[in-house]
Amino acid sequence: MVTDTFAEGIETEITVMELNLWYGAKQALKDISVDIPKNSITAFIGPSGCGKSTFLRCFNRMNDLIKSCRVEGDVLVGEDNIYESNVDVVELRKRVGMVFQKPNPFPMSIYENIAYGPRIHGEKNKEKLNSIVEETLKAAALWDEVSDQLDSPALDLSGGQQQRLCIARTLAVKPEIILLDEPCSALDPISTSKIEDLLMELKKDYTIVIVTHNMQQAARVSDYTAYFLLGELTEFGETRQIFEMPREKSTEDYITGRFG
Amino acid sequence: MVRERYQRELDSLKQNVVTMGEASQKVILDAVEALRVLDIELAKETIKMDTVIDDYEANIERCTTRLLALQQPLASDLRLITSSFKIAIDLERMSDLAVNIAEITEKIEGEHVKPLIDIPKMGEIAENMVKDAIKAFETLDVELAKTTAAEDDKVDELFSMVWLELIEMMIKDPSIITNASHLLFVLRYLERIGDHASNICESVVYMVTAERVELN
Ligand SMILES: Nc1ncnc2c1ncn2[C@@H]1O[C@H](COP(=O)(O)OP(=O)(O)O)[C@@H](O)[C@H]1O
Ligand SMILES: [Mg+2]
Repeated sequence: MVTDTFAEGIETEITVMELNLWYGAKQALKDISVDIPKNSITAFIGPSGCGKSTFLRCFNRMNDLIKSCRVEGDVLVGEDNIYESNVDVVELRKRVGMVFQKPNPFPMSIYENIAYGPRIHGEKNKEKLNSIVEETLKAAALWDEVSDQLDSPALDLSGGQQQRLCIARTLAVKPEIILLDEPCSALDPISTSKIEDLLMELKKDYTIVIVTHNMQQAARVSDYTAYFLLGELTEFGETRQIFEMPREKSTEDYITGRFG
Repeated sequence: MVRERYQRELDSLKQNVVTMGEASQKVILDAVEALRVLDIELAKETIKMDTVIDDYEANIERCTTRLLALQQPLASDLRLITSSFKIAIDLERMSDLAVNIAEITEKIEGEHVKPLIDIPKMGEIAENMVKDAIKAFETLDVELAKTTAAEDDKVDELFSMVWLELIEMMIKDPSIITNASHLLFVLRYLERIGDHASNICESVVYMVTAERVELN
């Protein structure tokens, strides 16, 4: 794999060391080592089926839910090795939130969608919950659109609003990292651009990793880009470099649309 | 082959730049030759080439805009497109300067103040620079781009030398001031043509390596 060394002063948020992953007998990730920088947006790109979602799910152990899945290697979030046996997975998923391709709000009110997580994690104070709902909806750039309809069903919102609600729901439990798996694939261009603007705002406070099939989206929003091919991380570096002058021919072929 | 039409458009953009380069090269060659032998007909022909070159530039601008808007190019494709756009601008400027030289040819009264030797030499170097810069563009030859840009030093040297020579002649014999000052402008135009040729070389280096360099 070809990687850049980061400029000095850049902190690492996620450290992956020699990660291998199998679904049954089939190896889906091969010997991946990479440092994901803190307070930045890292984009995962590559052809379908090359392991982007699988790799993303390693960061909050979502793959544990898949029976046939076996992981070797280490992933550190901050200082903590998340694959150690004593790790509290619920706590981990609070630190590392996830947003999916299809917006999946709970079938309840807008308010309850946001309050749900903090409540599960023990927050009972109504005042406190109110302010969490307001703050996170503001942070997700949704407050102005929904502040007068907090009790209406979340499923009545538009697709783009639902996706921002899902991001807000993730923020409500105060994570450190937000993982997004093709969060805009089902959205129109305006909603997409709202989500992109939102991510650029959020990276000041969070570390963001996004899987996207939209090269221009990766080029627009991300600071770092990782290119995956057949379960391997073939190139990782600053986004500017990857999209201007990739080092690997396969990266070039993919981003210029000649393959994949 | 994926994106076949896109690839064809990129190829044709590249070909358009090469064709424009050849045309610009000819404009410089003709302008300097017309001046050397004071061939008014050739000067007029050269001046007419101005609109042809403008059309080439407009066409390249259209191609690049279209590709950027519709294909969202990246990596080497994007570098080819932005470089082509810049090169077309340099070629158009150079041709304008050559046309200015042709216009001066029409203004020279009687004979030249001296036989023109160094000015045609400057023209030849500049014209060769354009030829090689375009060849470097066509063949992605960074080395050729760099050696070509270095030729600009020779143009600059001749510029200073002939400039001084003409000033001295004017001091000695003020009756030649009109024709000699025309030649001072020619010197300046040729020197600028050399600068534009170096710019093209810089664009070629960027296109191939993604490095922005200053070659003179
Ligand atoms: N739950 C699963 N069970 C078995 N194989 C899976 C599972 N999820 C993904 N895979 C396989 O792992 C490989 C990588 O898939 P995935 O991570 O979804 O790729 P991407 O997100 O890059 O499209 C594919 O070959 C896919 O079929
Ligand atoms: Mg996926």
